[in-house]
Amino acid sequence: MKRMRQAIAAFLLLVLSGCAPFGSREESVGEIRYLIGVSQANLGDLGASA
Amino acid sequence: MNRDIQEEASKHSDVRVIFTDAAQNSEKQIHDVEKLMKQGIDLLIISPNEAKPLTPIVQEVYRKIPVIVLDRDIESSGYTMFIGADNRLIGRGAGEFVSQLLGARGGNVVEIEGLLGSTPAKDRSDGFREAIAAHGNIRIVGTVTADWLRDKAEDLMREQLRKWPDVDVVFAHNDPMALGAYKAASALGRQGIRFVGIDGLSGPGGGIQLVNRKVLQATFIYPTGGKEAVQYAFRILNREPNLPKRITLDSIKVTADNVSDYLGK
Repeated sequence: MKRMRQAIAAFLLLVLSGCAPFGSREESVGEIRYLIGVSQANLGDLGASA
Repeated sequence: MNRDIQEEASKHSDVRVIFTDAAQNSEKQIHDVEKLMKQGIDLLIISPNEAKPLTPIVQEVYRKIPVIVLDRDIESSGYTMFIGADNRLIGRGAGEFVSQLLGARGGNVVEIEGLLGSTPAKDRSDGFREAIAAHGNIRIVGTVTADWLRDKAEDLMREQLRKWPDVDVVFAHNDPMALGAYKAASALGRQGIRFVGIDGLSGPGGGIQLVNRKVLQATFIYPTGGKEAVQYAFRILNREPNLPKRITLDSIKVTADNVSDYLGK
């Protein structure tokens, strides 16, 4: 019984610290998986060679 | 190009794209790349302003993250992937078209080049000259460098037209410069000169409309590669194996004969 209480307490601690296995707050609002940098020579919308 | 990248990236909710614009300044572009690295990007897509000055920074970034070089090449193969059209082939296509325009009689050509030091300018010029070399009666009487800019092309073309009274064709490395040359010829009342450009963008003032309005005799659609760059970026980031090192995109010649197929696209 004591071991079960300890396990539940440990799990609740994980949840409160945001490390729970079913997702953090950040994931719930949409995580940025990849950040891509685009370095243009000049105004790209004028054309590939403009 | 940015629009194509943005459109393709918007299909993925988990990606953010940061754009920088070097305004044709290679030193600024190096700083732009350094800033992007500080922001923690996972992949760099770069269209280098000039090959030589940008080569070291591209190689440095490539040691840390994947790099897609778009449209303009660098002086080494120190990148993950190159995506672009074959500028030499496009230049050759323009040369063959000009040869057909001038026929057996031949004629005088003024070439308006893009930024010196950029690979498209060099390759387009090389391809064009290769194609017309087979026709001894076609002479390039003047070559000017207008850095891809319409207004600069207009100014330089005025000087060329005053110097050469019998110009038959202007070959410009992009459509805006061809338009600038056309404006110069119109302002000086010079009739009968034919203009050929490259890019073939749709939309107001783009090469497709210029062909339709008979300002240009022909343009060669240069695919921006933006869409493909984002698609391959995902495949690279997802560690897909055996991706090619070079992706060559197709170009299409647009003249009065087929311009209706591309209007409104």
